[in-house]
Amino acid sequence: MRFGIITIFIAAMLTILTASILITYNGITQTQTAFETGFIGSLETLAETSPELQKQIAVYKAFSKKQAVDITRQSMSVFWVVILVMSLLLISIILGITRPLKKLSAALSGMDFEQPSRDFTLFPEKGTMETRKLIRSFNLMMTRLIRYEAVAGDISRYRGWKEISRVIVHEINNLITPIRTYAEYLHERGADTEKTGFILAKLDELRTTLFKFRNLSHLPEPVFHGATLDSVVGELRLEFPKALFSLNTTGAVIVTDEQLLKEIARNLIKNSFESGASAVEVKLEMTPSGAEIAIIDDGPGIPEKNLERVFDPGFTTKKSGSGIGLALARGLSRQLKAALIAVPNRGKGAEFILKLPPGLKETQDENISS
Amino acid sequence: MSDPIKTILIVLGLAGVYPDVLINNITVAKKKEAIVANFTLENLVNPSIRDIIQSGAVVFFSFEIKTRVNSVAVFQTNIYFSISNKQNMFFLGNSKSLTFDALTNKLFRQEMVVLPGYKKYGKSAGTAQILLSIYAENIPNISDLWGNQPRMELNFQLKE
Repeated sequence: MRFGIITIFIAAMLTILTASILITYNGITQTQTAFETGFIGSLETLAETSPELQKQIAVYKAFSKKQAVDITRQSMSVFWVVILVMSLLLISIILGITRPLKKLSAALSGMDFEQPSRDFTLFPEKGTMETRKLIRSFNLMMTRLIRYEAVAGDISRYRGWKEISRVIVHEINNLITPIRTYAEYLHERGADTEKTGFILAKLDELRTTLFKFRNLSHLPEPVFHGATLDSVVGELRLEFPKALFSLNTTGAVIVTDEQLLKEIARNLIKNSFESGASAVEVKLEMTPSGAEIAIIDDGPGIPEKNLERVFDPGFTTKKSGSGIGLALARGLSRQLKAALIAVPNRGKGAEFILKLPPGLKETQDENISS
Repeated sequence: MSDPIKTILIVLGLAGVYPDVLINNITVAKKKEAIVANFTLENLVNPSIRDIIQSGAVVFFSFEIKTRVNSVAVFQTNIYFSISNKQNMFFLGNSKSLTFDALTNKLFRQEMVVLPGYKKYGKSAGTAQILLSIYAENIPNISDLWGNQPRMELNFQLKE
């Protein structure tokens, strides 16, 4: 392709060069002819009595062809400069297009698309506007691919946990039922009521935990509708008076399941307080790509190695934690087609960000129209 | 060659504006006690130069001969002649009047001594250079009316 462009360019330049030579030369010779028939013709009449003038006219005529060629060559020197500049421009444009594409192509050929996150680094946006756009799109595509790779990993892990939790809930519930029946029987018969009461209380706690697990394996289907961030904040404010809420806009409407969104926020805020944070800040922002909710606390934070594991069901670093809250929040965020991530520590405390995708607006339109 | 192509070649410097002076059929021969060079000349007086001569200018032509034997300069001379015009007739030096064709014929075949008394050099190698020039009063760049700078070099072997 590069040689094709260069050949076309050279052919075009030669055509222009040839045409410009002929046009310039003919123009000059026509001017000379007009000059010779006019002014020189008059002089020749006068020169009949002046031999010296006759000689000068003859010399002028003899050299006129050379003059025409010299003037044409001088004019052409400007043309050569233009050709040189244009050639350099063309070369730089061609290289500007091909170099980044070549690098991109080389990088693509060596990339493992099964695990794009392993090799991929963002390409520098260089070259012409079109090339930069292409690289930007490629970077965006790869970034999304990497995100989906992580999500795919999450989903497969999540599906595994969902199945396990369903079985565990079922099995433990099967075990609890006869224990509870016997404990109630003994309690009613007055056999060591203190101990049987303790057993029943613990069985109740166990059942509550089981219900939570059951929630994890039976996530509710979201019902999308328009909700204002103000209304989301309003209820949470009452539930968590110690938390600090900030909202960068008022009256902004997003299309989501408000109840599920509150449930996610509730779990995250609760997790922060239960982790030992004394201050929790909830920031709600409308962004060009949708909406973003950040929960920032001053607790002990999350070690980098646990940033992904904190969303695994059953994983907890708290003494009394069940490891369900964050897993549930991640599961619910998936239901909302949102991304919930734990951000690496930027100082003290932990930070979770919930990104609600831009596609929700379209979902809203579809829902409203249907 | 068509005119547009010729024009392009001339402007690009691939062809001359004026015709080249052609020196051909060069031979070296012994004549009496001298070595002489024989050659033919064409376009010495081309149409542009002819027009200048016809306007009344006297044009001089010179043949500068330099000869070396065994790399030693042994002979140097300058043969020159003028061409003038009166009433449309040409004159080669003080010759009788000539038409342009007759002048061209007269200039066509040339014979010039490049080494007189060659016998005194014995067995040796010689080189003769002949450089042609053109002059005219008040026309300093008249040599530009030649398409080339005509010159020739002759190598010859002298025997005892």
